[in-house]
Formats: sequence, structure tokens, C-alpha cells
Amino acid sequence: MANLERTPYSITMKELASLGREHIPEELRTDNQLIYNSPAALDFNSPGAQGFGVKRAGLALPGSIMLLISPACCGRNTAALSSPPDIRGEVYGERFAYLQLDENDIVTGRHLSRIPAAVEAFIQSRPKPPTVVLLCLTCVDALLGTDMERVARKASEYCGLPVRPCYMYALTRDSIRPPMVAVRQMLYSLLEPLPKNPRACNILGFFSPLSKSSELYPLLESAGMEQVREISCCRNWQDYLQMAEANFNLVLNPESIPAAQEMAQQHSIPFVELKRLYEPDKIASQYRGLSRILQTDFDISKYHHEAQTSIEQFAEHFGKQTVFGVGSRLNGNAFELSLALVRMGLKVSEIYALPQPADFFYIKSLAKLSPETKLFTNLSLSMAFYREEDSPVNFALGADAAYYHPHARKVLWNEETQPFGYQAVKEIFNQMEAACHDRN
Amino acid sequence: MTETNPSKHNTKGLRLYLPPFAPDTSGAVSVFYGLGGLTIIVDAGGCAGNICGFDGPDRLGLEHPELIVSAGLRDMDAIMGRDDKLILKLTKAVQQARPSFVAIIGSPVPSVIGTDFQALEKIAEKATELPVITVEADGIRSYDEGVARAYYALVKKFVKLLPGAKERIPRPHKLGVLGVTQMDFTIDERKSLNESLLSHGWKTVVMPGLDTGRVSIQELISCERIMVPAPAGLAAAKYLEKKYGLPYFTGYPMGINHDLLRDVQLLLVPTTPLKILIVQQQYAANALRTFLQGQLPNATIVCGTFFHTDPGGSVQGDQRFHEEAEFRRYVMDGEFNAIVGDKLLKRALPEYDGFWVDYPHFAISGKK
Repeated sequence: MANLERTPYSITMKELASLGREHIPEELRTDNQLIYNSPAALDFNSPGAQGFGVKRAGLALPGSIMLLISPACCGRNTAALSSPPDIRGEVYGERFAYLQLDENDIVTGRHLSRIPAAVEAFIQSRPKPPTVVLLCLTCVDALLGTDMERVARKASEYCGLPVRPCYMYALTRDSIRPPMVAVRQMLYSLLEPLPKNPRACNILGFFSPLSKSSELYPLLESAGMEQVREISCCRNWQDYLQMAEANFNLVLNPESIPAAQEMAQQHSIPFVELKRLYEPDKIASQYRGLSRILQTDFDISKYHHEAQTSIEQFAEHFGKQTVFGVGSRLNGNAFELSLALVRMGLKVSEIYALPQPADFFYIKSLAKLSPETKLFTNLSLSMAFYREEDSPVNFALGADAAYYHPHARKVLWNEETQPFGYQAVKEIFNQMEAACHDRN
Repeated sequence: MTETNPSKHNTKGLRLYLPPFAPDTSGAVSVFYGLGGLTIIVDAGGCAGNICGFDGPDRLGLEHPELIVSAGLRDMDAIMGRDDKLILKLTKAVQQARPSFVAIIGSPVPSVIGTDFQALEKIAEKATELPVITVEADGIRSYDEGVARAYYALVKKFVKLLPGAKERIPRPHKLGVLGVTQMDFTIDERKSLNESLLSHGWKTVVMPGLDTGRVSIQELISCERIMVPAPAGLAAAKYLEKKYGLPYFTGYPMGINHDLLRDVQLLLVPTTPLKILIVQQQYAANALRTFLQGQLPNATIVCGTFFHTDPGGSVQGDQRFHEEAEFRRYVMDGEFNAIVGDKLLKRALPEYDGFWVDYPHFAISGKK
């Protein structure tokens, strides 16, 4: 048996902040260590293993189907995608087909000549014609340097429907155009120019819908927006095409910025970036900024008050006894969320995340307010030796934190419906309160 | 667009209904669960995600966490063939985890760039001062080939004669079992198999995996015989026979799968002459055929599999399916009244209206 007496790597906020963003320790970088594959690290290695990877993301296009062109191993986890129908009545599992490569294909590239016939057989096999056929490519074609744009054009001419490549190139995840950025660009690349509608906007960033109870919708409505579109809420192809009439795009996930930039260029749709934040004052500042851009005046007092009330209630009931471990497998930024909790007077003892240079904005503040908070990284093999009993954490936030603390109170906060704004604050504190009540 | 009937397409490798089955990468890794090693998947992350996220060890309830890591290859690593960087990362990981051995598993990326696994094994052994096993999986082949290669590499590396001994000294009533992985056996089936063997006169059963540690592989040398209950264990057993004169036998005891025994009772009602297709790994399918044939002497029973077969275990008419379309055509033309197989396979047969007994196979659906 492996020796289980080893200790997991960690660093305090104070130590990390003093090193600075230019000197992130080796243990917190992915380029010079083997990456541990615990359930807590699964999202990093393979975003599609849980949640949205390139395959599911591509199918956010209404009526689309996907041909995965790869060795068998790349499509293995799609067997799990037999979830119930989505809001359009579409079942993921039925929207995939597979062109499995063998050694000869990889050596000779012969599989490329089979793609048009495969696409046609795929279309014929489904009860109704798709809107678009996506060709999903993997590391093999990345290394072979296949010109998939050309292959897709040929397949499109052959079958008479739009065919687009979708790059699931895990090898390129540290490049300037990693797979999850590229797939977001692909999603909006099929829009065709439309006259502008001053009362329409789009929300970009997620492949599943924003929570319908988010205040963002009524605020946009108060600014005169009659159509607020998200790709996951488009019921059909016509809905999707209407996204081109937007007056502006709201980008809620930075991985969508290149897609928004392309839409700005091709469809003259400007964009505004909003962050998912958990500090009510910062949320207020962000909304004030947005209201200035939209030349309106948002009334946020009700939402602010509700969020604040949820925080105060939790702090009063459970604040003193709760010690948080905050993970990164949740709907939020682990450092921003931790800083928000600390500023609310709550104790965060541990964070499980991989810091990026941009996170030092939060890390520096955490170093001042909670210098002894420890950072662990899910990707380090040393986490195999993490022992729950050695940690003061009694409340786990995030799926990874819950994995390390199976006996603690927990809120996973990783649902597919995306929380945002004051609604996210209110909901997370309500769920935390409920988790504490349940345990008591 | 030309008219196409999907059931009659001849596009090689095309699957319109069935997701890929467990690949050799997953099969190889599954052999090392519970043996106390550090397993490295030489990939960019996606393969490791599939192996650990879908075909992974979590459901096995092992006492210690499995030490499985991804090499985290990036485009320049692949283009430049930076094996030295991999060795550096490996050395650090070994210092952290102190495993008893290292297993290096291939994936499509090293297959495309032509990584020399034999050289990698030698360099890694020198750098880590630990036994290193390499399995040249490529993610293209099926799970059983990965299982077979991994067992073969394990026994070749660790099964040795005792120091000073000229030949092996078998212990009476000690049985080794090769081929039991989660790809073909549930935890309950594994336990039942163990109990069944003990109740049939074997005093000690050595079944590597599930927290048995590396020592269980070394112990095979003193077994009286080796049992192979799935074809994936055959290559290693043949090696042991040739190298050490350790005899083996193949077989799958029907009694270990209680759910199946209950479910197939539905087929035992005398109706019109039955024509049954059993789709499983070869030895499990054979065992079920023998059982059913005893109860239904007039039935025609055919065994089929998508995986490798042992020619010695096949009878005339048995099928090896390579393509989904081939499977569809065979079933639809075969006029079977009943099929016993993983219910995921039904997706490929929307027109089939005969009887279906679910016989889950993890390597097919990931379900048991």
C-alpha cells in the first residue's frame, strides 16, 4: 500500500500574497506536476466528466446533433448522457453518433473521407432533420493537423445542412484559445445579421439557463429590455437566430469574451462584462455601473435588503460556530466567495482551488483579513493524504470541499441552473441555513 | 441527398446508437486498482477524466484512495516529445506518494507521437528506483485488451521464483484467479466467486485487486492452478504456464450472479421453439448457454460478444461483432425470440420486439 502518512501541500493566504502573482509556487501550477485524478479534481481534467464539456456545450444549439470523430476512449462518458429531455424535449444521448477511429485511420487519415457518408447516415437515422451537424474532434486530429473547416464544408455540401467543427482539444487547454473558449465562439458563429432591436439583449456565458429568480431579469426589464435571450433557453432555431438582433450582450463568464468580441465585429453587438460576485456592496457597484451604461436607474434596494437579511440571519444563528472550507467546484470564484464570507465576519479556514494571476486581487485582501486561511489544490497528488480529522472545517461549500469533508455540513452549490447577483447570495445563505438546521 | 437506410450503411467505425464501450485505457487502469501502485495516464487530461469519472474506482469502496494521475500533456509536450519532463514530474510524485510500484498507461496522444514505452519504463525505473510497468494502451482498442496487457505486464514483472529455487513449489488447494476486474465483475460477483471457490475445496484463493496489494501478484507463483473467468486474463495465465509450468483452466461459475439466475427464469417457460442470443464476455455467455441449454434442450442458443474471444471456448455459430451495423443486421436477420444482454444494446435495435433479459456488462454501459 502507498504510505498514507504524508501531508497535503498547503499555503496560507499571507504566504501566497507575499509571493505575488508572478511567483505562484510550483505546487500550484499545472505545467510541472502530474495531475491527481480524485473526484475533487475531475472537473479540471475533463470538464465533460461532470457538468458541461465541449460535447454537451456544443449541443446547446437547438436541434443540433453531434458526430464524435475519435478513438473510443474520448466518447466513453457519453454513455452517461441519457438524462431526461431538456426544455426543448431533446435528450442528449440521442443526439450523439460516433465515428470510431482505428490505427489505420490515425496513420493514413482515411477516416476523413468517411465523414460525409457518416454524417448523411446519422441524419437519416434520426426522426427529424437536425438544424446543424457538429463534428467533434479530439487530440488525435489536433496532432494530425487536420483541416476540419474544409472537411466540414465538404460534409455540408454532401448532406445539404450546416456542418461545423467543434474542437475538443485537451492538449490546447493552456493556449490562448482553449476548448471551452473555442466552443463558445462556435455556438454563436451560425448567427446571421439582423436589424438591431433596441429592446433586445443576450446573456452569454453559460450553457444552462440563469436562475429565473435572479433580479437580473426584472432589472433589465426595467431598463426597457423586452427580449433577454440565452442560448440554453432558445426553444428552436428561429429563437437562436433572433439572438443576432440584440442591442448588447451581457457576458457573465470570461470564457465567453472572445465570442462576444466576434459578435461585436460581425454583428455590431457591443458587450458588457458582469462578474458573479457574492459581496452585496460589490454587486451594488456592478449594477450601478451597468445602469450608467444603459442610461437608466436600477432600483436594487429590495434585492440588496433581501440578500443582506439572509446573510445576517445565518451569521446570527450559525456564524460563530461555523468554519468554512470553500471549494472551486461550485458556481462562483472560490477566492471571491471566501473573501465575501470573511468580510461578513465568517471564518474561512481552508480553500481548495488553483489560483490564477487575476485571483490575487482577492488573495491580497484575504491575506489582510484572514492571513492564516490555507489554500490546498485539488490537483496535487498530496491531496490523497488529506485527512478530514486534521481540519477545523465543519461546513463544506462546493462539491470538492464536500468530498474532503464527508462528515461536515455541506452545500454543493454546483447546480446547472446558474445563480447570479443578489439571488445567488440570498439562495446560498438560505441553503447554508437549511443545511445547519437539518444537521441540528 | 441520397436515400440511406441507417441499418444498411457500411461506414466503417460508425455507431449511430451505441456510445463507445470501455476502451483499453480504462481496462488497463482497472487492473491496478487496490494493488498499491501509482498509475499515470499519459494524456492531456480528458482520457483520465473518462477513466476516473466514468469507468473509475470510486464505486469499488476501496480502503485507500487510488493514486491515479494524468501526465497533463500540452501541445508542445506532444510536439517536442518531452519524456524527460514526464520523468521529472513522475519522480516528484513518487517522492510524495511513495507507492510500491508505478504503472504508466498510454493513450491516443503517445500512440500518435510514437512514444517508446520500453525506453520510458527503463528510464522511469532508474529515476524512481521502483518497479515500473508500462501498458501501451491507445484508447482505440477495447477494454479487454487493456486488461490483458496489464495483467501480462504485472505477472511478467512481479511473478518470480523464490530466491535460489530452480522450480516453483505449488501449495496444494491454493488457487490463483486472473481476469476479475470491475469491467466484467461487480463487487458482489467477485465476493460470490471467492466464496464459491472456497466452498468447492480450494483452501486459499488469490484474486489480485481490491486492496490485496502487489503481494497478491507475487503469490501467484505458489498457486496450484490458475482460474481464468474472463478471456482478458488468458494472456497472463498462458505466460505463467509457459514460463513456470503453472496450469490454468477457464470457466465462469453461473451461480455467482444471483440476479441473472432469477431473471432468466422468465425464459424457462415452454413456448414455441426458442432462439436465444446471449451477448456478454465469452466465458460468462458460455456459462449461461450451458445452464439454459440444460433447461431448454430444444432451444437454439448463440453466444455473441463485441470483445476478444478464446478460440478454444467458441462453438460453431458463435459471433464476434466488430461494428454496430453488423450487430443490428445479425439480430434483425436472425429472428431471435429472446436476447440476454446489457440493455444499453437495445438502443441499437429499435425495431427488435422480442424478449429481453438484462444482463448488465460494465464494459458496455458502465452500469451494473
